[in-house]
Amino acid sequence: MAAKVSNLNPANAVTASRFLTLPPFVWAIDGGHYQVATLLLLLCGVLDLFDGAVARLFKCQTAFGEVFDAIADGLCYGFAIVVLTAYGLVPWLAVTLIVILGVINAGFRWLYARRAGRTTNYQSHAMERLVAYAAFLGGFGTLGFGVDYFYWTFTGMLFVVVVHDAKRMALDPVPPAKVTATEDERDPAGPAIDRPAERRDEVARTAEAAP
Amino acid sequence: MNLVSHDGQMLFGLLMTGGVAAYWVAIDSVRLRRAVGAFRRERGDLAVRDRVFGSALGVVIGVVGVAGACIHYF
Repeated sequence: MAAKVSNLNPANAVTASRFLTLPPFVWAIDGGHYQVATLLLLLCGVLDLFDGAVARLFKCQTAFGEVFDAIADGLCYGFAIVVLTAYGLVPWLAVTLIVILGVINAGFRWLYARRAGRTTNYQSHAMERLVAYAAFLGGFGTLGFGVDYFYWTFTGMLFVVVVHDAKRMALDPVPPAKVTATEDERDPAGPAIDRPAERRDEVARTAEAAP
Repeated sequence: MNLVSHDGQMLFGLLMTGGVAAYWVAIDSVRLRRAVGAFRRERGDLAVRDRVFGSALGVVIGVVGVAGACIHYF
């Protein structure tokens, strides 16, 4: 039986620390220190990579941590591009569309969690890629590097992914609760993603049934 | 407060964007191949379908990134 992991764990602390980069980011933009602002965004992105590694290292992966990480991504990168828009550094129309699509996506995620009846994060491989792309959007704005090109291509791709994920979150069946890393490692069949769907479901059901 | 010159700033943009985007093209091409292989075995598995879509988008993002970095630097 896997031990219950507290939400006050090192991985979530790293995730929360990303918010500390936001006040100096605003200071840097306000003062015209765009290169410093770029470095702060870079630091925020590195912390984003780091929290997953910390979660695996300390075996403290939780459903809350996954959702918290997604919220931190949205708030940090969203906040950065909204600040850049306020200072006229990036196209406001593209950013407005990005924010609207982000809100629609968040609404469907809420709906998905309600359908699942538990704290869960809809795992979209496409959205993961776009979030990584979004991490760069702030940097394009602060560096003044291909701003219009990157913002508009991002908006187009975000539209496609939000429509794709909305259909899946609203209509497709919700899979059973995810297997924890510890149980996953113990399974002789190997990592969950390499197993056939029926085997994954069977392991997940066993994990859910465990006291 | 400038840490590097404007040229250095643009070079940083090129290397960060182009480098990461090229890496994405490579890594997501491999993932896409694996995902398509898994999709052929299990057509009904939604998770596998999602991996195919995600990896294909990753390749597109990578190509957009490399192209954008080159267009705006050179």
